[in-house]
Amino acid sequence: MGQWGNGAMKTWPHCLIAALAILLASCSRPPAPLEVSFVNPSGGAYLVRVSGLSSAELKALEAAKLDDTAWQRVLDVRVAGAERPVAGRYVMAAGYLDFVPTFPFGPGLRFEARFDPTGLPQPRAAEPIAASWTVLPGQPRGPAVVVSAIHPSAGAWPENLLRFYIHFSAPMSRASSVGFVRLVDDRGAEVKDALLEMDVDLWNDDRTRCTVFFDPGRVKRGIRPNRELGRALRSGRRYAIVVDATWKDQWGQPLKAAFRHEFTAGPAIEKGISTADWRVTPPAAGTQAAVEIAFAWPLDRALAERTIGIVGSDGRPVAGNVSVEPGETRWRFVPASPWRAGAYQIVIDQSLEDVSGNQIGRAFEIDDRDPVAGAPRADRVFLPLTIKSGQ
Amino acid sequence: MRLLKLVVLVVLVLASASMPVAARPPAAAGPAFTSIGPLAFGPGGVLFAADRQAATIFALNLGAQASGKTPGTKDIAGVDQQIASLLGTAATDIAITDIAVHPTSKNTFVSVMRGQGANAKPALVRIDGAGTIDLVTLDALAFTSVTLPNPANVSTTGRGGRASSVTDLAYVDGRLVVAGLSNEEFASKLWSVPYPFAATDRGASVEIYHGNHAAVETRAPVMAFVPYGINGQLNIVAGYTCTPLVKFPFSTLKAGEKVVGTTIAEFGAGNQPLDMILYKKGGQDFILMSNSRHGVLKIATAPFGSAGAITTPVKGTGGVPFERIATMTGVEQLDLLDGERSIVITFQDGRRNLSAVILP
Repeated sequence: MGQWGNGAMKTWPHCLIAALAILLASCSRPPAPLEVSFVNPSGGAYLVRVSGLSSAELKALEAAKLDDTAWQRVLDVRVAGAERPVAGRYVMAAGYLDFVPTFPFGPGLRFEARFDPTGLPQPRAAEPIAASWTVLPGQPRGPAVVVSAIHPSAGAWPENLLRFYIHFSAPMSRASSVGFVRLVDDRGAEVKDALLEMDVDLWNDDRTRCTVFFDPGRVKRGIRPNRELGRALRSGRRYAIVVDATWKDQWGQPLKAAFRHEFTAGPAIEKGISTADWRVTPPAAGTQAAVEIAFAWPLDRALAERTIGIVGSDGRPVAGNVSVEPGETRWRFVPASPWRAGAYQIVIDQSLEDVSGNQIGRAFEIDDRDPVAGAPRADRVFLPLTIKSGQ
Repeated sequence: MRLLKLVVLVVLVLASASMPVAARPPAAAGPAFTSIGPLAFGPGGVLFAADRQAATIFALNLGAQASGKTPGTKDIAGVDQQIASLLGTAATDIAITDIAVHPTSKNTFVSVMRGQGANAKPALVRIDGAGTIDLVTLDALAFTSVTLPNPANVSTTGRGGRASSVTDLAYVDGRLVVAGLSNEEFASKLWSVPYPFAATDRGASVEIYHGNHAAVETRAPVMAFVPYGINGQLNIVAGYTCTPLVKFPFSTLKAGEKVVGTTIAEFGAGNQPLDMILYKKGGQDFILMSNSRHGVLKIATAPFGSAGAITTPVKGTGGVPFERIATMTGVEQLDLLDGERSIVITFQDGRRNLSAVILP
């Protein structure tokens, strides 16, 4: 500050003369030709810029503290043909009046800007000037998206299946699965009222996986939709899940192709998961071989990936890589470092479910005469895992 | 000295012409929404807004933005197009996620997601009695927030794709009650937390069950609910994903409790509830429930106290009577406007319309 002050003091006369010259020039300068244009200063987001206003006019605009309506009388920016202007703020900077939209101008649309000099606080007798600009549509940054997987991946789905997951090769639009995913029978006819048609956001965060629920009112026994229509899947029959190619990706382009997953409906699974029925294959100490768990029947893939882990004797998680094999009947864990001989535990969060919503020791449909079955319980289950040397 | 003053003046004049001056001055940082979904007004006009992506509920103090110039809400045909124009985009590029009517200004607040994929941005707009649509300046709002309870991953490498969508929320007797649906486990937890939010109270979750008619109980996510007093006891009247209408005492929402809703009506396939409002007409209380495909149902609450639980299968319509309102179709959003009217957003002929509708 001190240095700036000293320096400024030394150059005072020059600074003063230059400043006064600019000030006088701007005051005496006749109004410059007005121009309105869509610009993106420094390659940033586009805005609307009015040039040719005098510093006095800009200062008066700043001092006028206009409300939205008055601002729009001065500079109106809207989607071509729209009844309402675009939301944004008005900024006076570097000799310009800028309109900065709150959101970037939407791709593929034509925008119109109209500046009316008679709306200025010190009206200038001049005709309104206008500009228009069409934003190029967003360009897809990759090839058309495909359905990369569907889970359960097995060729047989229990007739009381509660949900399935559709995976995509790249992020999709926000649209839910309603209208894009159908259940069809072996004659190709759509099974009506099979899937939950709710516009609830069931995507993962990067929109590469969408969860689709069967209508639980038909899956659950005894509820009116179930009594009226029965379950959508009937054991022994063939079906297909069909994903329509018109479902759009994040760039608005359709899928590369429709997708079809055929399966046979099997008997309902109406019992709790029993970890006693799992086959655990422990690896040998000193190796980085996988711990493998073979399930008695397929579990929900997303939950099996997320809710099963290994902890050491100190209770701390063991780092490693989890995979669930196709068919969702086998879980594998490869440690980041070699196993040490000793006691470990397999830890399972109680939110683990099979594909029909059955949990550990608790069927999806609980016998309401059993006081224990639905009672609150611990959040996690632990199974012993002993790693021996020399195996 | 005079020379010094003149120079200072000149420098100030030049500086004011070259420095950015916002017509609307930037305010302190407001709530950092990453997405915006269900809305509900609470005490003193606080607006609760759910952010699914951040697993957070924001409590917004709207301040001067609680009201536009004109009280009430004017009908707007093509409201999706009109909001899209305000946001500088096309109607196909926005999604209206909820509406809520301010308790005193009667302006309608609309939560909107603009854009697609990772570029989607949240917006909150206000519609007043003159039909003016204003973008609420979120940056300017004072707020508090609370994080939704999310299960920690057990796996060290789980794909982390779990998300929970808030299906409904409401302020009930000093607590904010939140219902949700997970995109993985069949979660049916109803979570409640005292409001004003306190850092020391993380709230209580209860697992909601539904007693079927085959001696079985199942977890039952709540899609929509309203608080309602039945025989002097505050109840939650809720619509499940599997379509029944149930009730359970509010006092049962305590951590660790298992709550089994008592079925008081059955609606059948395709009647997943979207929104529920409570209103009074001719001295009687009614619930109006919009649902996924079959329009709007009107349910008189008078029998709620005496209606026995539906515990055995009944042929056809079961439980308390309800009436299908044939004149209200395509309803996607519903809220109570005043003593005589509801506000709805309907989807018809490819566009969405906002209108006030006389309560049936």
